[in-house]
Amino acid sequence: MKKVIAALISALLILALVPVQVSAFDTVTISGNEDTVISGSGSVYDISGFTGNIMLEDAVIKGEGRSAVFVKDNSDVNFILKGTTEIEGDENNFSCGIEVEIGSTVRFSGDGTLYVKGGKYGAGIGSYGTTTNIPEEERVNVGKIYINSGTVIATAGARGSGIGSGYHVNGNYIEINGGTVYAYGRECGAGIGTGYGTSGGAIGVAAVGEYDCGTIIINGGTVRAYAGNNDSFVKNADKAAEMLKNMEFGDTDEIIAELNANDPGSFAAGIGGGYGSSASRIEINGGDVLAVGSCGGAGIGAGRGTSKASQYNKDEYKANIKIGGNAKVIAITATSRSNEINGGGAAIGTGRGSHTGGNIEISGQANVIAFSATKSPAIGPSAQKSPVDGTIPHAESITVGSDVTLYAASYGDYAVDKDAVNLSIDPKYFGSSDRWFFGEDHKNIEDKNNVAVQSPEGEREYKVPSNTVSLWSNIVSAPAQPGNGQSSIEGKGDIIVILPLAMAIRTADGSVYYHGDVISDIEYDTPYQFRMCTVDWSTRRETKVHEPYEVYTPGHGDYEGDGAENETKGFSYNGSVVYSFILSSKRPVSEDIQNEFNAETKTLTIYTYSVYKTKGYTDMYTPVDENGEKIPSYGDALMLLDNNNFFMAYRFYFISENYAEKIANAEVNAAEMVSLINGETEKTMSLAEIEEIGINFMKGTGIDKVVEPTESLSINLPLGATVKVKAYSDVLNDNLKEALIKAKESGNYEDEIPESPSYIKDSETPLFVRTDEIFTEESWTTRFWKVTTDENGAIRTELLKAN
Amino acid sequence: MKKYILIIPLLLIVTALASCSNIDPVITHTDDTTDTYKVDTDDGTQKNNDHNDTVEYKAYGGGEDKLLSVDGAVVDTGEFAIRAYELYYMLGQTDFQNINGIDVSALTQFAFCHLFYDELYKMPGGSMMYRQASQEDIDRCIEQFFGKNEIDTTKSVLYNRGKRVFEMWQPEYGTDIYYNVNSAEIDGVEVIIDVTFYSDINKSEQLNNIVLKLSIENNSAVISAMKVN
Repeated sequence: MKKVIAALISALLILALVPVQVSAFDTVTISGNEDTVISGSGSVYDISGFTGNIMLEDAVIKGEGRSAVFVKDNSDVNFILKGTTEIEGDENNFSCGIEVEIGSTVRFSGDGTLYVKGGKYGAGIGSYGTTTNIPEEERVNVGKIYINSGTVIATAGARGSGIGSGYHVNGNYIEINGGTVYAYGRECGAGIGTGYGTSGGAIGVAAVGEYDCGTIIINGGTVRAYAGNNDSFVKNADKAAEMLKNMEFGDTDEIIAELNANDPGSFAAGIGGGYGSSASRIEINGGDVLAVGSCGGAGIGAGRGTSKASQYNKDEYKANIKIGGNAKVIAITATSRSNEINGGGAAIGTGRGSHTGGNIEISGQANVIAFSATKSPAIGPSAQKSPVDGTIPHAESITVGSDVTLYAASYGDYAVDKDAVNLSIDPKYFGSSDRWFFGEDHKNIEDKNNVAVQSPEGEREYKVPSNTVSLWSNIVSAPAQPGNGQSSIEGKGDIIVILPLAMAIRTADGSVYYHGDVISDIEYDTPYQFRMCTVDWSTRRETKVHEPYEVYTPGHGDYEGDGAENETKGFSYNGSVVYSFILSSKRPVSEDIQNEFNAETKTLTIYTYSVYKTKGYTDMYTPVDENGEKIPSYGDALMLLDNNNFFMAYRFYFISENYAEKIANAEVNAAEMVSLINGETEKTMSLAEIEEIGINFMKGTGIDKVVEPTESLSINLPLGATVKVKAYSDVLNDNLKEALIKAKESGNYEDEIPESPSYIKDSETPLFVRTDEIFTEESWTTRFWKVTTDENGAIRTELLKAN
Repeated sequence: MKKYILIIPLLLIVTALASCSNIDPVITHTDDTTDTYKVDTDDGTQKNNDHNDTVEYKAYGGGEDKLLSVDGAVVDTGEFAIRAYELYYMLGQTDFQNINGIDVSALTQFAFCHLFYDELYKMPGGSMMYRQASQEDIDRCIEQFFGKNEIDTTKSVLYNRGKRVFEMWQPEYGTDIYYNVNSAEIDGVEVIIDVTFYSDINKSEQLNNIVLKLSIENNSAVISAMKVN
């Protein structure tokens, strides 16, 4: 007897696990609570009053005239995904891929993949809808949907959501705890939430706001929800998300333009409401979420509203959004309507044509990126005027916890609704590069520049897209980076020294800093004294190394001693002028200002957070890395000493006693000279004219021990030094006696650096020149030559000496 | 012998007058070298400085390096030879007919240095020495070397208008000096000193010839003009 019973039980168990074989278009009803497997091709399933597991294993199910799978009669089904299953509603009839009747629950788990697509006006998973607004009690409502594991790719039918409700249907309850979910809304339906709600009916039937997505909870998993399903929109949304996630903003303008251009115009949220639908409860407590809204719909939140007060139910239209836990969320909103760039939906909040920005709470340790591709705030309401009273709407509340990592950016005035009725954000965590948090006075915001930020991908350099108003939270102390204005020591700063060619500074403690060096650990708002020095070019770093020159006798600012001493000092002439620099903890009046020099006190104030403007400073001073790439330098605290507050550029010209003879002998430039003065019996030459005729062999720095005499035509010198000038000569130009010296009153001489001749000879007598005397053309014009021709045409020159 | 008897009291006077280093008790002289300089005498012997600087620089004079009595003032030609060296080689000043021909920044730096050092050639090198002085001190020192004047020293690059003081990184002028006073001619109340400088102790390589004109003001010699050849 026992054997009989055992055999009977075994037979029953086997029968229970045998796949249900159905013929095409058959309707199979699954009831009871026995585990069931659906595989192979089948048409439609009614799951009625069933509680238990149904494995979907490599099944292909297509509905005709109805939903492919209809879960009803208070069923509670755990669909176990195995292999790849495709389920699709009837696009010509009101239907879903998997229709979930109100009162029933579906759950998805397993390790397989489910492709599910809605039919006409229906969701991929959820409910279908109706053509017109109908009273709520007559609507086809939807049951509960859970996704716990597996991969679900849900695409809406026309006017439906990917997961949720169909056209003119409220959402109910959706919970995602794991797995991978791709959800694509279509034709005004959200990716996850409601389908097309309403474009505005009579209040009392279905005005904007009366449809609602119900509850959407995401606790885990990877979720990608789009308010459209066209490939170009999804592709560009993904690209934008990748850009934001990686903070690679170089192509931002192009990417966002592409995103907007390919926006499907669906008026729906990525997660939340379809067109005309509210989002009464969205909670994202975990998982990795991307939600992309379209054309007035929020990325996460409510769908697009209306401009007509009569079609808007301000008591019903809402958006209540909480993001917390350790959720990683990227919310983007786009628009394809150029005239709506000024006011699309918010990335997180409400849609265009609403009276509120909703209630938004971001808490826990959430990482959130909210990006508005329009001029609406990234978080809060649309910038479009309210249909109720014509005012700019505002959020009822926005709360951002102190441990939240948030980046929000908008092309409008504000990244976050600054006028939310209840606003709770710790301002010290926020900043922006182009404009500050609320787009207005940010004097009291600290950490303005040179900061790192916490991103979903970890700590990153602070960067924002151009032309956006951006908001960062969780700005953290930057790791010790040279010159970024922030030291590795809390409360102290670093600066980069920017110097003209072949100059250095020496601070009071004797330290020498060259161009590009970093002065570390500076106390803010504290003056530090320094002096300017000219580098001994034999030891300068930025160009080729020269053999040391003969050491001149000490006493004129240059040094005598062994090589080690010179190497340590590294410069030849010290200025006597006492300068000070201060690393300011305050902001400049204009962000364009990096430094301010007070000539009265000779004090240079350095701001740590002013934006580097290339137009204001030549590229030659832009720091580069080892590969020659420019280092992003906005935010660098630069100590700009490459201006005439700190040095003078001197150019020396040497005059030969027997130059007339040389010209007469056509040894140099005689033709040019004759040409220049042709027809004139006498001419006093200006500097420009002398230069024009190319008497370049007369030029040279001549500064002993600073630079090889003919290497450069000018040299930068500190004020308050006395330099020894020797008139060097080459074989063409001996007997040099006089040096003409010109100091440029502003800027550098940008000289060519000719090849050094191999033969150099000293002039007999050096000059000693005080460097703070500013020579102008007027002051030494009388030292130019007077060139004359006599009656026989012979050229005569006469040196007109200075007084 | 008479000459050496005369030298002792004159040196005392010169010491008091030649330097500004004792005019401001407020200023801290942390590393002063206030010893009087000693120069070669015309007998060719050389007297070294007797202070204890790390590097002991010396002035090697010669020729008409002597003391003169002019209109009640004592003029040490060697001292003014060194002033000429300072003005040209250390401060880059060439020809000037009066004090107005001297660059004001150089002039104030000259005075500034003399507030702390009798002899600029003794100023040590190798360290960052910050100095500060009042306008009153600077002006007084300039007057002591160049006589009464109306120079606006606040136009100097060394003047900090914010603090209303002069500030300077101390130059490192320390060097040996080689010179011969070629002549020292008294012309009424003026003295013309002609001095040649050399680059080596053997005085074999000539640098420049400088003519310095002094005048007597309040029983002291002051510099009135200079010409560098």
